[in-house]
Amino acid sequence: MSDRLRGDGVAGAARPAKERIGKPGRAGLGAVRREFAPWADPAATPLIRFEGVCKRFGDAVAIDNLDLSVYRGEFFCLLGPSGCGKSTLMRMLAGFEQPDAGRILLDGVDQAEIPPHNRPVNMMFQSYALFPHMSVAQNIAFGLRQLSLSKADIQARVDEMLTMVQLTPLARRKPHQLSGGQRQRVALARALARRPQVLLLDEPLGALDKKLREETQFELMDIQEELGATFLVVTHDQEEAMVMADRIAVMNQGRIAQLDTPGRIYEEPVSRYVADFIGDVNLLEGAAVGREDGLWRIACPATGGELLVASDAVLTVGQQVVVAVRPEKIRIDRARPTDVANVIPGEVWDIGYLGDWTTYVLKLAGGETLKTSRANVSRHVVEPVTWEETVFASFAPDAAVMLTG
Amino acid sequence: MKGLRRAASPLILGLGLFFLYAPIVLLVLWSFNDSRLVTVWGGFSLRWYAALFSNAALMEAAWVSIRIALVSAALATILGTMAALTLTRHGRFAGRTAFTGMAYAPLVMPEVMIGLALLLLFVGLGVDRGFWTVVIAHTTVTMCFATVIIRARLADFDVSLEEAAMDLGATPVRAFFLVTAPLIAPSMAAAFLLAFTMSMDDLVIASFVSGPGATTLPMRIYSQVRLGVTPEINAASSVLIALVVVGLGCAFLLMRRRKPASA
Ligand SMILES: Nc1ncnc2c1ncn2[C@@H]1O[C@H](COP(=O)(O)OP(=O)(O)OP(=O)(O)O)[C@@H](O)[C@H]1O
Ligand SMILES: [Mg+2]
Repeated sequence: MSDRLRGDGVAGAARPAKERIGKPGRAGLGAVRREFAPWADPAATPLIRFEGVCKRFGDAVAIDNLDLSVYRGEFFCLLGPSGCGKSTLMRMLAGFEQPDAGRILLDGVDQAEIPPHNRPVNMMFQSYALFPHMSVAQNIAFGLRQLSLSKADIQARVDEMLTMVQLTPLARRKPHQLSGGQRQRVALARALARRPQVLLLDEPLGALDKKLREETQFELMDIQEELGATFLVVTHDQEEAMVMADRIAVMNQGRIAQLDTPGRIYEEPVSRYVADFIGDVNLLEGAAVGREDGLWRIACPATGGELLVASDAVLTVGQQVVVAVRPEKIRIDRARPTDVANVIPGEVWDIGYLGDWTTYVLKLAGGETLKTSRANVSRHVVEPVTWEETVFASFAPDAAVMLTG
Repeated sequence: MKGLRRAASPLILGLGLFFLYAPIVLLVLWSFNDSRLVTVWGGFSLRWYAALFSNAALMEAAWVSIRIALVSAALATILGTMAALTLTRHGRFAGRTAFTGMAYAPLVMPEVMIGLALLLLFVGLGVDRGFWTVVIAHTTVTMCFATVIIRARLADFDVSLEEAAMDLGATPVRAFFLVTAPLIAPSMAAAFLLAFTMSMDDLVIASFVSGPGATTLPMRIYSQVRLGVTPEINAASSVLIALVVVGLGCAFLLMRRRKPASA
């Protein structure tokens, strides 16, 4: 389990092994680890393809000319604010909504004419949609009964699913006799019982409290790895997406703002929208002044000086840009540091103690604020930084990202 | 003034209830009267009930009524379910408003008009009036009540349950029978009972569209009363009242029953 914890979320951090796909139990300690990145392989054919898909409800555009490829065995997250079209995308794949334009291919087959009950996908509904008049076991067996399976086979598969989600003792209960977390597991087992090629999960953990959520995230990842199915998960919780996903699509108003691995989405956002949506970020506006040694010199009124930013961006002098710096990449010191390129003086305006982290909000000369954070590595600090103290914030040129969009 | 109003309101309520229910209570009481005279109390007896069950004409009428009620209630429930599904599940379609209006029209249409209209229709079509014409007439009227009841239940039915069923491989028809029908069954039963009781006690419409050999119980009672009220008729009416009360009571309980906590 612990090998699934992605340490610091740095770009290109080693991804856990994917060898177990389709052959549960084969990989053990010392098994060879392989990078799982079919999207980087031009020869790989995607399992799910959206090609120029549009969907409107009346005048409202829910999905706007969207292209998307998801590969076999991938754990794919759709992330975005409320109303950006995540559920609509999923419902089109399940067959409950028809695209107005474009095609949806599953394993190379156009799904347009295929009704929901014949698609090789199963969905776990946001509301769980458990059948209230059936027991846990009957709920799980429902999908199997629609296949021509023998009674014994169905029973065996139901037992297997119950074991997987650890609900065997509750098999005879009705959904209303279960807790939220237990219902969620029944819904998962029911959706997985038919061994779908693709499992769609619409905010699967939405109804759970934080602690249960975190546990369940890892359970979901383990189950996905064990079954080798392709998981397409909707969430609006960015941490959840970062923890679970192989790749994340950040959506904005029916379009994909960025599609990448969690590390790259966090460290190399392509636009202000993505940088702002994922995690905390300081957005400093400025204008390009000149280039030296692969660094751009940016005049930044907020800091009252110039910033050096490592970037390959092609800019014209005077062009308006945004420099994005994550709070944890900014150091604060009482004395002006001499070893870092970008130093910004400021006054401590606010301190937020989060236990593991403390965030400091600095007020800069121009009146803007700058957020920094620091891990609380020891329990006692001799002379902690306090309110209204003047400190120096600093960050390296490669800690910042230059955004032009 | 206030005190007066406080004292008056239970009184008014009592009077209202008295005028509504005293005749019925009296009728039921008189049905247990031992005397042959309808207005003189001669002690408690069940003899008129015994007489009733050996009165071939009344029994035959009752049997006709029950058969008509069963068939028309079944038809009304099926048609009402279909209409309710169409109205709740199919969003907007051409003619939806017209369809809603037509489905609900018999709720407010005077029975005499419905009876007359149907009579003209059957005569125009040259249909022999009898058992089936009454069934059709009763179905027409009661299916709109069934639609109202079932539609109310479908309106707060979580559509994602049906979607989940289809997602799990059930065809739309199977999804209906395996998931929707069991969950709306109480309201379907309520609709059936309501339709059954309405058919059982209908006199006006049946008088228009019935024919030889299809005299319903209310029609038989009515025609006998014109010749004079006998204690036997009181007994027959009491049985009918009991049936209606039980039917409506069950329908009410079924409608009121909370849907199981949706999960
Ligand atoms: N059946 C519908 N009729 C009309 N508009 C709809 C319908 N379904 C979705 N929409 C609209 O389409 C847009 C996208 O909705 P969608 O449900 O996909 O959002 P979402 O990203 O899943 O949001 P959330 O995170 O709140 O679930 C919204 O503006 C919504 O109002
Ligand atoms: Mg949604």
